[in-house]
Amino acid sequence: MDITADKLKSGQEGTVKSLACTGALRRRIIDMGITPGASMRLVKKAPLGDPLEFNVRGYALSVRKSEAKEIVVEVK
Amino acid sequence: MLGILCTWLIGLGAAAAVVLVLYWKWKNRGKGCCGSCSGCKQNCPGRTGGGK
Amino acid sequence: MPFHIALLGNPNCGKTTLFNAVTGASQYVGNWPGVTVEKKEGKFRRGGLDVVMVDLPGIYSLSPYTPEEIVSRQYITDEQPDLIIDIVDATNLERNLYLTTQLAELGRPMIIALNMIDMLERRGITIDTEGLEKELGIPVCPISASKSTGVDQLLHRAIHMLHDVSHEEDLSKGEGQLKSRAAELHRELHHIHGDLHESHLPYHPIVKSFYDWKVSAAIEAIEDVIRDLPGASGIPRFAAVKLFEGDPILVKNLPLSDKQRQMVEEILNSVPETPLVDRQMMIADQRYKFICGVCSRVVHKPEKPVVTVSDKIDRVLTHKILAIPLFFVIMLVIFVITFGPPGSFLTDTVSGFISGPLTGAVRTGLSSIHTAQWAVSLVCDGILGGVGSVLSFLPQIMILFFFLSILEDSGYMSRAAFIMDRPLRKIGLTGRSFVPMLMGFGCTVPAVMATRTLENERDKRLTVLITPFMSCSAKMPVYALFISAFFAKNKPLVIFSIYLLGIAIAILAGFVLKRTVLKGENSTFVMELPPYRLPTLRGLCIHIWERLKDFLLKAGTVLLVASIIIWFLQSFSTSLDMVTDSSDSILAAIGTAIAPIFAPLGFGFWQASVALVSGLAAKETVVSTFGILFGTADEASSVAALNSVFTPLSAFSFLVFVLLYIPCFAALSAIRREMRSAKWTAFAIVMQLAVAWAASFLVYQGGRLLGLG
Repeated sequence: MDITADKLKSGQEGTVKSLACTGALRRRIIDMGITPGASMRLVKKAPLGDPLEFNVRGYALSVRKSEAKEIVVEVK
Repeated sequence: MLGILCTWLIGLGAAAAVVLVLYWKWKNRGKGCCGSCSGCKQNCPGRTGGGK
Repeated sequence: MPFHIALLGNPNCGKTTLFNAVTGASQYVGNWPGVTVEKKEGKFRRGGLDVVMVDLPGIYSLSPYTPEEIVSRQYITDEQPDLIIDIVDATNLERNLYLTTQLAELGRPMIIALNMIDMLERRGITIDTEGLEKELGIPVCPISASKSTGVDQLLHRAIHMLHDVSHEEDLSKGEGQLKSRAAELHRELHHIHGDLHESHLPYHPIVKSFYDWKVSAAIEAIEDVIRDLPGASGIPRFAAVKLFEGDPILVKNLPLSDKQRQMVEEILNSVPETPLVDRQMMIADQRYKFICGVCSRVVHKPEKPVVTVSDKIDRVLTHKILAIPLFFVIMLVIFVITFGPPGSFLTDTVSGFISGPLTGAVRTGLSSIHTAQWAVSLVCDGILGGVGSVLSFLPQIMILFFFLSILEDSGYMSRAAFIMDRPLRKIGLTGRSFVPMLMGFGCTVPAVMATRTLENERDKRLTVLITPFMSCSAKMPVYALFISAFFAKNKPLVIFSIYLLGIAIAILAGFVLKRTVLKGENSTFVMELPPYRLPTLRGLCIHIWERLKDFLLKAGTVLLVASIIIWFLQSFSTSLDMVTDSSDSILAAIGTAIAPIFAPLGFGFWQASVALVSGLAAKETVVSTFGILFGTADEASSVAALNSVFTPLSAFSFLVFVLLYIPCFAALSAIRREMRSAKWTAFAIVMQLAVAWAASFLVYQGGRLLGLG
C-alpha cells in the first residue's frame, strides 16, 4: 500500500517509492538519502505533531509534515 | 622623583593604549569576527542545528 | 611551495575537531570572497613537507544550490588541492559515502578518514576497513578525532600520498634532481617511522562501478565530448555526471558548441527519464545502490539495533508531552544559577574587592610617592572604576557560557530547534532561527553569524533583526547595577521580567515584520538530528577558557580605552582644565546636547545619554561610564549617586532602553556582514532605536500615569 510519509505511524517503516516535489527541496531530500528503495521509519513526532523525526539509512532526520507529504512510501 | 616617574608612565601608558587599541580596531574592521570575541570561531556555521 | 590538503565531509562529522587537532594555533579564519561562507586555513609541517590545510564547510553533496556547496566545488576545481581528506562518520556510513562518491569523481588524490570509530562499539557495529579500501579503491584510515587516535597514521599516510603525487609530477616533468630529492625525503620518512616500505595502495577509486552499464556508457560518452573544454578539464568525469544530471551551474558555464550540445542531447536521450525517475534521481539512486552493496559486504550490524544512551535521553528530551516543559525547566535552572544567589554572590565579592581594598591600596600607594593627582585619578577613578566594575561580572558570564556550551556540545540545540519549529513558524520564524536566538543570550555576534544556517534569505534577515532583542550577556552588568540600586528586594523578578520583555518584543517584532516588510515563502526544514554527545570536560574547559580570554581581551582593550577616554572627557572642561564637578566637563557638554531626546523617557540628563552612547563600544561600557561618573568607592555611595538622578521608574525605563537599543559595534558589523546590504543594516538600526524609544516611552509615561513614579 502506498501512502505519503506524513501518514506513517510512530515506529512504522516504509520503503520510499517516489518524490512529488521539485527544485531545491527535491535535491535536498535526495541528498539526505531519501531515494527509491531506501527505508524510512517514523521515530516520533514533535510535541505539537510537527516536525517529524525519521530514521533514514541509520540516522535521524527531521522533516516537516508538509515536506513529508511529498514523499511516497510503500508500507506492508 | 618616583612620583614623577609614575605620573609619566601612567600618562604615556594611557595615551599609548588608546592609540594602539584604536589602530588595532581600525585594522580589524573588515574581518568577520570582531577581533575581540573569538566565541564566534567556535560557533561559526556548521556547528549549529546540523548544518543547512 | 606548500602542499594543499582540503578537508571535506558532512556537517557534524568531526571535521573541525580534526582540523583543530592538526593545525592548532596556526588557524586563520577568513572569508571566501563574495559570500558569507567562512574560510579556514591552517598550517603544519611533517615529513619534510610544508602543508596548508583548508577546512571547507560541511556539505552533504556537491550540488549547486547552497553557498557552502558552491564554494567547496569551486575550491576543488579551481585550486586543485594536492590531496582531499574526506572525513566520514562511521556511525552514518551510507549517507557519508554519498559525498565520497562525488568527491571520487573529481579525480583528485583522496584519503578517507573514517571518524568516530570509538562510537561503533557502543552500537555493536564493526566495519572492515581494509575491505572498504579494496571496495572503493581509496585509502581508508580509521580515526577518532575526539580521542586523537589514528590521527598520526592518517597524517603519515597523507604525507606519503603527497610524496607520491610529487614523485609522479617530477617523473612527468622529467626533473631528475627534484626526483632524487623527493626520493631522499621519502626514504627519510620511512626511516623516521622505522617501518619497512609498506604497500602503496594504488590510487584507483572505482568510479566506473558506481552506475549501471547504460548510465555509465552515457557518462563516458559525454566525457569524451567535453573532455577538453575549459570548465571540464581536470574534472571530466565529475563534469560529465553533473551534465547528465542537468546541473544548472555546469550547464551554464560549460562552453559547448552547437554540435557538442547536440551530441550531448542525443546521448541523454539514450537514457530516457520516466515520470518517477528523472536523471538526477537516477544518479542519486544508483550511487546509493552502489554504496549499499559495499556496506552490505563491509559493515556488520547487530541483529537488533542497539538502543543507545543517546536514544534513551532523546526519548525524554523530545517527549511528546514533556519536551517543552522540560525545555523551560532547563532554561529556568540556568537562569537561577546565573542570576540568583550563586552568581550574584560571586559578583558582589569580586566587585567589593576591586572597588574597596584594591582601589584603596592603589590610591594610597600612588599618592604616597607624590604621583600627580590627575594620574592617580586616571588610574583609580578611570581605569579601576571603569574596567573594575565590569570585571566583577566575569563569574556570572562564565557560568552562563558554561551552560550554553553544554547545551551546544551535547547536541541539545538541534533538538531544541526541532521542538520549537512549529511554535516559531506561527510567528514567522523557523526552528532553525531558534539556535541563533538562543545564542543571542550569550553574545549577539556569534548568534548573528549562526544565522548562516538559514538558507532562506527572508528567514535569515528576520532572524538577524530579532536576535539583538535577546539580551546579551554584556548587558547583564547594567541590569545588575541598577537592580542593586533600585530593586534590591525583587532582584530575580525584575531581571526575569527584562529578559522576558526582550523575548516578547522579539516575537512581536517578528510577527509584524513578517506581515509587512519581510513577506515571502517559507524555507525547508529537512535537517539532520545528530546524536547526543556527552560534552567532554576538556571541550567545556576549552570553551570557557576561550570565552574568558575574549572577555579579558575585551576588558584590556575596548573597555580600558573607553574608560580612559571617558575619564578624560569627564575630568576636563572644554578649555582643558581639570574640573572638580563633572557637570562642567566636555563629556557633560556632549551629553547635554543629546539629552533632550531622552527626556520623555525619564532619563533626560547628560550622564544617561553619555552612558548610552558609550554602550556602542561594548554594552558593559554603560556600567564603566557610570562607574567613572559616580565613583565606586563603595556600594552605598554608587547607589546613592544613581538615586540622585534616577527614580525607580526611570531606572526601569532606562533598562528597557538598554535592552532594546542597538548593540555594540562588533554586533553591528556582524549584522552588516550577514545582511550583505547597507539598506537592511540601516533598517535594523532605525528599527531597534525606534522600538527602544517607544518601549521606554510607554514604560515611563505609562508608569507615571499609573502613579508609579
